[in-house]
Amino acid sequence: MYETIFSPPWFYGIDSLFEVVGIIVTLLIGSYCLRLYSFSKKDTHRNFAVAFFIICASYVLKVLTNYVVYNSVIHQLLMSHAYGDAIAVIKAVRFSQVLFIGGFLLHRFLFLLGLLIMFYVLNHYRNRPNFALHLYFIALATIASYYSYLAYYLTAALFLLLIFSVYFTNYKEKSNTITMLVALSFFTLFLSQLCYIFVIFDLRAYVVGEFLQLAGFIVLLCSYYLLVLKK
Amino acid sequence: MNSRRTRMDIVFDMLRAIQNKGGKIKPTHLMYKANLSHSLMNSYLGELVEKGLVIGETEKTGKMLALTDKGYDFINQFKKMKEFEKAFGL
Repeated sequence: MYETIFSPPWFYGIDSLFEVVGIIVTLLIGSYCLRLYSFSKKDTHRNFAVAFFIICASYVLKVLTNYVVYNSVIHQLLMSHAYGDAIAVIKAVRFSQVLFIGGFLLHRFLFLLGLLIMFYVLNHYRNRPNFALHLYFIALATIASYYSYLAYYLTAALFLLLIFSVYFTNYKEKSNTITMLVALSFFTLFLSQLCYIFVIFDLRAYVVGEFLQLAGFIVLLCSYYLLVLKK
Repeated sequence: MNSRRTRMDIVFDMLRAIQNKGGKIKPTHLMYKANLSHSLMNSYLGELVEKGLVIGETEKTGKMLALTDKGYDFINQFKKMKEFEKAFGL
């Protein structure tokens, strides 16, 4: 079985460092939402916290999966040939293959699940049958992404665009720096998903996407700082 | 028409009413400022005193309710939480 890696070789590991930033930011916001829930006992606060924790878990999985894959690739690079920027990796070790596929798919499913929950919370939806149906669709998108990565990135981009539209409306209503930063962060995350779609044409699109994703999380961190930490 | 206040909103209104009066307030004034009935105010007040957010003091003018440092801190934390709620559309 062949797998392809979207990252150019010089970017191996750097994308994982970027994702650690995402892990930290989602963990901070999820924790604060949980604290909010401990005071308010509102389901929306708890569910929002759960959404961020799920996204955090998805990035942890991505970092771990990339670690396994990149280590394997580096080993293969030493032992075999490399073909330009796109490296075909032939997996001899079944365990790493299972780990890669399992981690890879679980990361995507969890990320979409986190976005789905966030979307439901922000739109104050409570319909459980609809949620189950949407859950089914994101599971389908995850499975489909194994054969075509576009299924995942398009779905994630759509969710992020819808979430951004809610925050943009929030910004228009409240018109302050923090609501602007929150809207901007989700717009940047949406743009990052769009970049990943063009990876098939140029691997540098992955690098651009990673930088945009990092920027999105840094902006989200700034809004967190202004809201929670700044006196 | 405003939506019904949550429990935390009522607690915040009570503490803010005391803060706005310079940190000390008479129970009757608190009842009017926080827009509460006498029985409801007493039930919340018991909890606030128990949690150390408010203390009762006796002065020449009568019984007064004073905000503690913990109470001031709670007000700041609550304001931040409300801002977080608004910023993230919760």
